[in-house]
Amino acid sequence: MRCQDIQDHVLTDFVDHEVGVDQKREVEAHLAACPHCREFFEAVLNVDASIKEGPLPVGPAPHVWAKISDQIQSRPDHAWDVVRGWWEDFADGFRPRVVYGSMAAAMLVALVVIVPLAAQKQAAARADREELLQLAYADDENPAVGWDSEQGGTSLVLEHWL
Amino acid sequence: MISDVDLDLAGRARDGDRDAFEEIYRQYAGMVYRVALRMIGKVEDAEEVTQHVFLSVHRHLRTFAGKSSLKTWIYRITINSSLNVLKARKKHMEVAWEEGFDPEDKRHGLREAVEKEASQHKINVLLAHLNPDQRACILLRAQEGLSYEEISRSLGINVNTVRSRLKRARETLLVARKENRGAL
Repeated sequence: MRCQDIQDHVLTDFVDHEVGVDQKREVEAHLAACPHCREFFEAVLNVDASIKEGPLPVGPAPHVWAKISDQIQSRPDHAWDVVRGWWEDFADGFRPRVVYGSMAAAMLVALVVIVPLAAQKQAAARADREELLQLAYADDENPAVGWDSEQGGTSLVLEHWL
Repeated sequence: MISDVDLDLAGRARDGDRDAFEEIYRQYAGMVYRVALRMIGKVEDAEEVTQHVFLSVHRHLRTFAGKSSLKTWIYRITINSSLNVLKARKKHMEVAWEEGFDPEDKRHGLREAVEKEASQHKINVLLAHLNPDQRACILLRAQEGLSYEEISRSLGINVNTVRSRLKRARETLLVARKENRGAL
């Protein structure tokens, strides 16, 4: 492994003892032979040690438990707790599910209802147009049907319908 | 997986046994407080987080399914509450760090107390270089000794994200120490 790979391992898996036996052996061999990487490894150990070995904060002051205890005791009775718990579950967990569920349902409705309806409408319009074209080309002699050349020849005029 | 002791404690506390709940507090309050204090840097805020965490634990014990350990669950609530406090402050990188210095420590001698205060200040200054997510990861690993798997469960992120946050955190801390020429 290159020095950069070794240092990547040192920064995480190696220093945190999350590395496999073979990889550990490989990193250790490199560290033994490379002063630059060994120095890097020691610097990482120092950073961790400064957090780990520093004086830990003392626990919370006694008034914290007193406040918690007071609040628990002054809370409403159990039945209200249950209702409140349900509401909080709804707010915490179910609300996003309801929102996402509604969005998914709306998309499903769009797919199942609106898209086929639109397609149906398009198909009907296409069929009408094809029928009209068939009428136009079915009988060239038919004086009732002709192209409206004044409008660029793009629309059919059915004279007897007008 | 949750231990039998935790399961028993949680069950009794859920059924309204206040002694059981107090036992949960006695077991985990120190851990909650020191993580919150290192995350936030202010004693009053850390106490408020501790209070919020245990009220939240009490309220949600009914929904605690025991899929993870009680400790992991409480770590998760602690980190989330601390992150909420930091978000409310809207200045993640400029935390108003205080020392978790207890005046009662003076009983151990002024010199020791001053040294302890200076040492705590160094750690807080060092941690202030990290963003809250990185700070949470490095605290759970270096201070609390959690494995990657436990950190992943506590923070609700995958193990690779834990790994990359730890890497970034350590890189940042190495640079901070270098720039401060060993003062940190």
